Amino acid sequence: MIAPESLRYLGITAGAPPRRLLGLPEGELTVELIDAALERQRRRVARHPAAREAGAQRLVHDLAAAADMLRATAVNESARRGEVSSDRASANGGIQLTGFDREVLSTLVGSGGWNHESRSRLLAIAAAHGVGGPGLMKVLAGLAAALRSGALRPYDAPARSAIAELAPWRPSEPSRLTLAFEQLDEALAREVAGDTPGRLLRLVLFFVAIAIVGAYFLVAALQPSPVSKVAPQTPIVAAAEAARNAAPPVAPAVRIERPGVTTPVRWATPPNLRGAAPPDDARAALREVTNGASELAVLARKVQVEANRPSEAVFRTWEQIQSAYGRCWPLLDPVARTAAIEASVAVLRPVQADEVAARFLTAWAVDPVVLGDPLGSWRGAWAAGLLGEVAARPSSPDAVAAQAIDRLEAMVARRSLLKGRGTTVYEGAAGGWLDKAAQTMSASATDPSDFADRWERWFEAQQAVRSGATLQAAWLDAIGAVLAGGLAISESGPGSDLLGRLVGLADWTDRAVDQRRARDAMTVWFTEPSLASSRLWTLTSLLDLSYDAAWFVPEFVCDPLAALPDRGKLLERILAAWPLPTGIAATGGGIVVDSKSLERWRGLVERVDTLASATTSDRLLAAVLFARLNTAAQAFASGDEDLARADMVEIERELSAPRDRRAVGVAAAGRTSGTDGEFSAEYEAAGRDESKRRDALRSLRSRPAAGDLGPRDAELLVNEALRGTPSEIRGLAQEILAERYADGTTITQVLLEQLAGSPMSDATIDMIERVTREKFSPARGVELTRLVRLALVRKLLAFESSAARAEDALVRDFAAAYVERSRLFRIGFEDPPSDIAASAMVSRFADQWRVKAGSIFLADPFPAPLEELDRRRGVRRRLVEGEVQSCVAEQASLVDLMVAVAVADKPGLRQRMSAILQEVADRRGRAGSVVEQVLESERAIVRVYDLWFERSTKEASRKDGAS
Amino acid sequence: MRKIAMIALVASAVTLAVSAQQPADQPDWSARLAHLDPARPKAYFELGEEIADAATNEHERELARTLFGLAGTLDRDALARSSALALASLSSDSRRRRSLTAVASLLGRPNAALDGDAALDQSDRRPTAAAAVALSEAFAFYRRGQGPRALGIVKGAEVDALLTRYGAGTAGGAERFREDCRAYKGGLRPDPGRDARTAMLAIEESLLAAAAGDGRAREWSSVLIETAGRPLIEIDSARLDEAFGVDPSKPWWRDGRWSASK
Repeated sequence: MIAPESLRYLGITAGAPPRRLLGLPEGELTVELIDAALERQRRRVARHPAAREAGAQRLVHDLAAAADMLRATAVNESARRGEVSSDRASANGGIQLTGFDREVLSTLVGSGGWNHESRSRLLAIAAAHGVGGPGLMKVLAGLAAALRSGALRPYDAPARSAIAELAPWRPSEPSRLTLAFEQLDEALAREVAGDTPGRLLRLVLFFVAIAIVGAYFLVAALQPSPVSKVAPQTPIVAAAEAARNAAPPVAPAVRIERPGVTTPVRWATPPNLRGAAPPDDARAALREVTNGASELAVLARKVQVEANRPSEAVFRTWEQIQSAYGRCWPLLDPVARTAAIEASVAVLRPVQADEVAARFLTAWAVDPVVLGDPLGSWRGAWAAGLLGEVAARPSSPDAVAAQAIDRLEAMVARRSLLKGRGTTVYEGAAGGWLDKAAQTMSASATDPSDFADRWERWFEAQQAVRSGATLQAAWLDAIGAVLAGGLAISESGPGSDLLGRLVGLADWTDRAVDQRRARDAMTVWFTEPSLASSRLWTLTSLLDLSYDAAWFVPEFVCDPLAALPDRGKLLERILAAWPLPTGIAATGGGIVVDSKSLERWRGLVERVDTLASATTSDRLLAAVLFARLNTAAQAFASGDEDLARADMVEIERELSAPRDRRAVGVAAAGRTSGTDGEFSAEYEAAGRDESKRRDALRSLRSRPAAGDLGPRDAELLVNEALRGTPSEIRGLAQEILAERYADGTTITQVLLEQLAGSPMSDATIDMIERVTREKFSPARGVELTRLVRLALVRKLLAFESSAARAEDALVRDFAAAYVERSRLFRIGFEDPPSDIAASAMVSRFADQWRVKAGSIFLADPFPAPLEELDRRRGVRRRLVEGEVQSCVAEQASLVDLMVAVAVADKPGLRQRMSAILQEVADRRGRAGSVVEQVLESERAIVRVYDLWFERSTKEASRKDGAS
Repeated sequence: MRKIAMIALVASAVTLAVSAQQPADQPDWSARLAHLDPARPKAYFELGEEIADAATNEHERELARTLFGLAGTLDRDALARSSALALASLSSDSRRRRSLTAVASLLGRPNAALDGDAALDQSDRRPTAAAAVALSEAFAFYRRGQGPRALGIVKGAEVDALLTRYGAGTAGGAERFREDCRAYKGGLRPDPGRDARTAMLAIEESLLAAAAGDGRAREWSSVLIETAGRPLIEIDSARLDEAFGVDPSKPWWRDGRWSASK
């Protein structure tokens, strides 16, 4: 929904009265005041970034109308005053003239009545009093009537008329002071006359003294000033240029030492990084791509013809055009940029061969090494954006899409590729790459000379692909990267300048588009133990310096030596003072979600609630779906509505057509070759003839597409590999088994069974290592046997689709949902290893909530003080038996911590949250299996989020109004 | 409410049974019990200790448990933790014992260390590598039609216990396996079908993996076989009456039973 124009441009709520709209104070109004106010407001609108939009024009029109209305009111008011004057005159036979009346009468008298001169002067006086032409005429008519009627006479008592002030002169009695001055004057006159030698001498001495004092001041004035000696020659610049370059007004730093207040970092000038304009290279590239899109179209036709073997010329042209776009794309207007992206993607559409795709994709380098280039951040972002576009489009050939994803994955998170509302895949991927690049760029200022320029390019690129909440997030992430990086920030230099610029760009006010994100970022920085307090000292000093963050008072500057608990206390105070977002009621809190999304989410919860839960797989599926719904809820909480919607689409898809996970990751088994018994017959026929036995074995090796054997042949081959004599035969059998039949299910099964009671020589272990592709050293004895058998059993199970396989796949999905949720939560997030166990991931997420709970002010801790919650968690952990119970224990603690934070956020939820805790404890206590407990715990988290949700205020008020 | 009623019913039945089966040479606790007053909870605890010390049968132990439970619920601050530990010491069920020691941990001083007994001694339940390998080989002999060899292996106490524990997940359980071992001999191989064969391999995987003890994360399917899907013990120190299994609204011993009226 678009804000009303007055709110958008002037910050004035819709429907404000004209006086407020023009920003006029209470009290008497004049036309002059009104005009000045109108002009002021017009200028404010004109300065707004969206001044060219239709809304601005409408607002200017409204302002003019408001001014007209106020002028008319002011005129009437003045006219009314005139009428009142004349009425009084006629009614009382004498009048109380106003200052305006007197001025009008004086002017008329002074100018000899009504004439051209008096008219001009009267109009000027009227304008000065805020009275228009018609009002002046009324006043004149009133005064004339009063004069005619005799109610007003020029020679009336002086207090009643301006004319009466021209009273006849009467000499007045001199005052005592006047007499004193006259006496002094006479005495001085006598002295100056010099008529006696004494007086003459005194006169000469007086003039000599005057001359000495005058000479002293003359000499002092002619001395060259020490200041002017060192003062640099001020360059002569145009006034406009000077105003543009001038630093924003900053109050002089005054060192005030107050108990309990940390002295902030002082800089000679407010830190602010400014780089130069884009280099000539960028402008040259812009010229190069004037016809870039059509050149790419020509290239696309050529690739269509020679898709699998394009000529060198094609590659060369492609690389030149892509290089040029990479060096100038932020300078392109959105239409030209879109055309370039479309044309680039079209070129790759016919490519099928992997090597051709690889060659084309080399033009898009996303490696951080590109940041060494002055235009590196532009080039890298362009490449990432294009790779994202190619990877995400269904029309992209597999060869291209797969390689594009591989190239991107190291630099850009997959979720950055999600196409969000008002964004493109290009923007998501390019923005994601820039975020990652910020981490590299803020590691150190190795080359301070072009540090500012490189960052300027980064700022330009970010602003080209992002706006609103995502841009705010980018600034906050970059601040986090600078704080965590190695740049010196507490003294004047590139580091503090960069941080100053970023702090200035981020919105810390109640108008911030994503204020929760800023608060969360602050929480992350304050609670991150690896972030030194000195870094926070600098950050908070910059915020203290910021005019926009007026709520950030000097008391919030962090002590550079503050310990973590002290930082936590300071954070509590900062968060408590943080202004509520505009539109959120003071008693609000909660996760604000639009009604439609909220209804959709709740609808999905209902559908998952009704899912069957007869088997372990059923329960795990429901738990996974609840976990995903909780991830969507966390996405709402983090302001990532696009991701929340994408998650819900996935859940709907799963509910409509559940995936069959029984065969997920099943290994391909070798095919049985030959007729079972053929090899056995040949081998047995060979008797003791070693040569023939060897030949029979070799025949197994030469079988085409050999992968497995029938039961009889498998028994014989495995027997020979384990127990065959002589050792040459055994060695040959082992070699053939490992080489050709390692993926045979029958062979592996027989091997597992025959191994029982067989000797385990090094050669046998070596063969099994080759079969299972595992290493068993340095195990020995029974441990070695255990490992060997375990590896063989697992290899056999890898060939089978089963319910257990489905369960394990579901658990991986469960862990993945927690990884995503943890990432969205941000506080204390660290990239987990890809194979992290579900319970470990839930534990990490609970840790993150513990940090959050520790950072908020819990006046009346609920459900218990944090120390008590920690104790419960410790006890649960010690009761755990196995991985799944560990997950339940962590989930239970997570629910406790979430409830603690939710109730602190919305104290009104206390009773209902208490009911949830009680219910989930009951359900866990009644559960017949640990998987049921996992499901119930996840369901409880859904309930917590559900209670925490708030319909967005605007919608709520609209709905209330409608009802 | 139903739960409390059930508890009261069980307590009454136990009491009746105790009084009915009181051997002549056993001390008669009735007089002491009749003197108990909920205003003096410590007396319940002390009498509970005496009865527990002197207990020679389950009925007396049950009476002691009720006294500890009542003492803990009547004076939560002073006696609940001691009562929980006393109840744990009287319990023969390991899960119940762990649950009660966990409750004791939660009832301790805020900074007190956790009770060691609350922690599950994983090594108690973890199979040794030798036993795991032995049972795995027994399965192999069974599949090869060498049932008697398999039976010979599972005769060992530890392997037998393992078989009982892990066999619970198979059709027919451990007993059926022993019976089949007797049937499949002399190379006569069982043909259990694909699903049953896969289930047996899954059990084998679980017990061989469980014997590792290296703390490495395992697939849930494997862990669920090992733990038979047992739920985590739920502890709620806020509801001590449920945790201790007593009805604190009936603290008076009258006419051989616990009563609500003085």
